[in-house]
Amino acid sequence: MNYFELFSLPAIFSIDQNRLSQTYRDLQKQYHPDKFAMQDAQAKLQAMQKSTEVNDAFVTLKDSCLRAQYLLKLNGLDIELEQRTLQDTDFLMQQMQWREKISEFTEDDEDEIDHFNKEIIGLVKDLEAEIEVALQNEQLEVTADLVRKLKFMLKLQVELELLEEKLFD
Amino acid sequence: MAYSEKVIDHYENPRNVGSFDKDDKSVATGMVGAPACGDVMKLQLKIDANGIIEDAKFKTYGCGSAIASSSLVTEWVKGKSLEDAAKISNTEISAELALPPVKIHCSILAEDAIKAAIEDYKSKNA
Repeated sequence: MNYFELFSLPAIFSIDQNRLSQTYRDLQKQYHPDKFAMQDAQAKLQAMQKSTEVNDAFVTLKDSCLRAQYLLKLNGLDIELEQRTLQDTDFLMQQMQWREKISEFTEDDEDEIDHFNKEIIGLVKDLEAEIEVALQNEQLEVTADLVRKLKFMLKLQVELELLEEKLFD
Repeated sequence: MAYSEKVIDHYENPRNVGSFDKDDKSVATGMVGAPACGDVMKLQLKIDANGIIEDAKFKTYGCGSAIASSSLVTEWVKGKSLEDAAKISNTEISAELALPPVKIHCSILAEDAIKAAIEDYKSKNA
């Protein structure tokens, strides 16, 4: 049973997040250790394994990048542990400029940081929309490339969060 | 995870950080990124009339191992021909820096940066 089947969701990129969360709560209850307290060791172990699987599935399906990666895997293209590098010069040059920009922000740049943050959020959404279309068209290599780019954008967001914590907390 | 002494040395005292003009014909620029961790590396080589790398600079946004790998590579390529520089492998880099298995991709990044720079030089001077 794959993660989508476990959550009774269609195996597509744009899943219903409310339904995901609701099903997660239901499944957590269903496999809660308390329910198996009176049963034998085998049943306890099975429930624990199922509960772990439910957690793994939830983490994977909730995150757009992991979800896209998982859909690729279901379609036979596993990029999770790949070691290959990305060599799209223009994209990487832009990434480098953004990282430089982040490293140069100071506490006086609150508005600018906020503006930059919104710009990045918008670009992440655009990428997610492109991933959705590519997956619908079963363009696996195109999807894989977009997912790789998404990872750089997410890293950028993490760097921004760290910066904001450092400057304003 | 503990970094090796060599990684820490390169991380704390990175060699050859900086940039050359990427539009200069004698400058080779290699841009590579590792999707696994989102690290970005720029390696630039300055090549003399005899095809020997006379200088190298790098700029890397990433973890200590990625910075150390690129810093090390700038030291190693100096004085080498493009052909010899292309032979530097990620296994040599990771062995020199004693990188743990989870950081092997940092050395792959550095190896690919050299190759990308050489490609850039060839296409520029074709």
